[in-house]
Amino acid sequence: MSVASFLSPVAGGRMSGQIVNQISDLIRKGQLKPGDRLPAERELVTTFGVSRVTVRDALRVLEVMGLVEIRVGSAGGAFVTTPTPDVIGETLSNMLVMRSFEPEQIAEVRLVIELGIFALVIERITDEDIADLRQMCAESKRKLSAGEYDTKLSMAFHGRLAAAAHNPAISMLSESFSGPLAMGAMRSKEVRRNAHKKTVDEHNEIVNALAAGDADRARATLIAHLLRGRDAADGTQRLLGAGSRRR
Amino acid sequence: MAAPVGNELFTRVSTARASADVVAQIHAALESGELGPGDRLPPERELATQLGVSRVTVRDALRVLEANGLVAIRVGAHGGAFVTAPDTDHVSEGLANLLMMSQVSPADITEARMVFELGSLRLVCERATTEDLAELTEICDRSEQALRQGTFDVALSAEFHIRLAQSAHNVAISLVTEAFQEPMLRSLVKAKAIDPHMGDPGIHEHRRLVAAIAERDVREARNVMRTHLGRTARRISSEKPARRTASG
Repeated sequence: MSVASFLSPVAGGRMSGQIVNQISDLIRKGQLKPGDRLPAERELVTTFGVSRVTVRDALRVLEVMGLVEIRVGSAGGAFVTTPTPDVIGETLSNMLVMRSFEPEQIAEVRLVIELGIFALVIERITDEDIADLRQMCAESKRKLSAGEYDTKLSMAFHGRLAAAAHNPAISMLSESFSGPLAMGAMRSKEVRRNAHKKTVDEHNEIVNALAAGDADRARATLIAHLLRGRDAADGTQRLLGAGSRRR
Repeated sequence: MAAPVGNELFTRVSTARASADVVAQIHAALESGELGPGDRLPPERELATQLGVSRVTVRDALRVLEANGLVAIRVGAHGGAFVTAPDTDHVSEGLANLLMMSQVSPADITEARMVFELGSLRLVCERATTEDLAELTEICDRSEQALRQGTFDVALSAEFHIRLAQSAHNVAISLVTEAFQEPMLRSLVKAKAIDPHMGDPGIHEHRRLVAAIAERDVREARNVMRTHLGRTARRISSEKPARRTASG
């Protein structure tokens, strides 16, 4: 079944935008799957009834959206690809730049995710997860002494911790929201060497508690860690109200 | 740097690099506030001259900005490239694509959604306004009416959950909740789990949720939500997925 049979000519308005919509709809509906090759450029030109430039514009937009990958060479062409959380993270960063929302709102989403998944992490964490987390802590300590620690390491730790929930949907969500906040944190004046040291110590403490199977201590440390240095007023504090503790 | 015909490899590389530079310059102007939403960028030709690059490069940079939701192209007499803030749909659609296109099982998506909606419920209980509660009740009324008339649609249930998330008064929370709707719906359709009576207990639970939120009773709200989403989860997959990696 040819993909081209699902596509229809575009006219008027912003034509490359309409092409982007048609192709991304097919991808979302699963009629085009990762790895599939889109029809050749000249075929798309005929199908859509537009110029080559317009087709190229549309493909470029799909490429940046992370839905299509352009390969060059004899076996080249436009291939459907699986998007990555980076694309989402970048858009969220852009939205922060454009003040579509505040860093606190992103932080709040991360709190909801990290606290929400912690029960799953405690239930599912493996020896391999713990070994990886320990290694990251050791690496962080080294970088800290060398004065090379940066927020990316902290984000990586939290990403790895989220992966211990063993749910890829959760990992994607967590990764999407880790980038923009890293950017916010790097700009914050509060991030100094002392703060980094505390971060690394707390990460270490969380891993130790997890390794010892001490869920309460792990959770309490995580909560203190996530809230440190943040305005703990109103919502954030309520997020941790009495009812959130499960036993 | 003009684009030589018939040598696509080299053209692409150099265009991409130069275009990334143009994108970076526009990003910087956005961050400093020199450019803001509603501003119109100079015409392609002018930008090319100003930046000392080809029109092909400028065009490519504009496509990148467009794909990022930072620039909207309007056609017509008053057309051009206008600066916009990416809208939340841009992100929720992206997240939905991510979930649907990756090899994520419906059970994993359901679990992630459950964690997220349960977690944000605390904020909803804290921040829901009288207006939020009135609108949630109105959706319940409409759902009941639709159920009686046999026109109930899962879209009504999605509408309730999205409106509920909006009551947390954090757009980032709303957009994540929205992102889960389409993949969830797809899974339900795939599992042939949509039947004409499924709205019945669901609407009752929606009402109980609204009541609990009105009382600011987080515990009750979470209990209702857990039962509510748990039923959907079971419809999608009758058993908990086996986890090879779990230790205990």
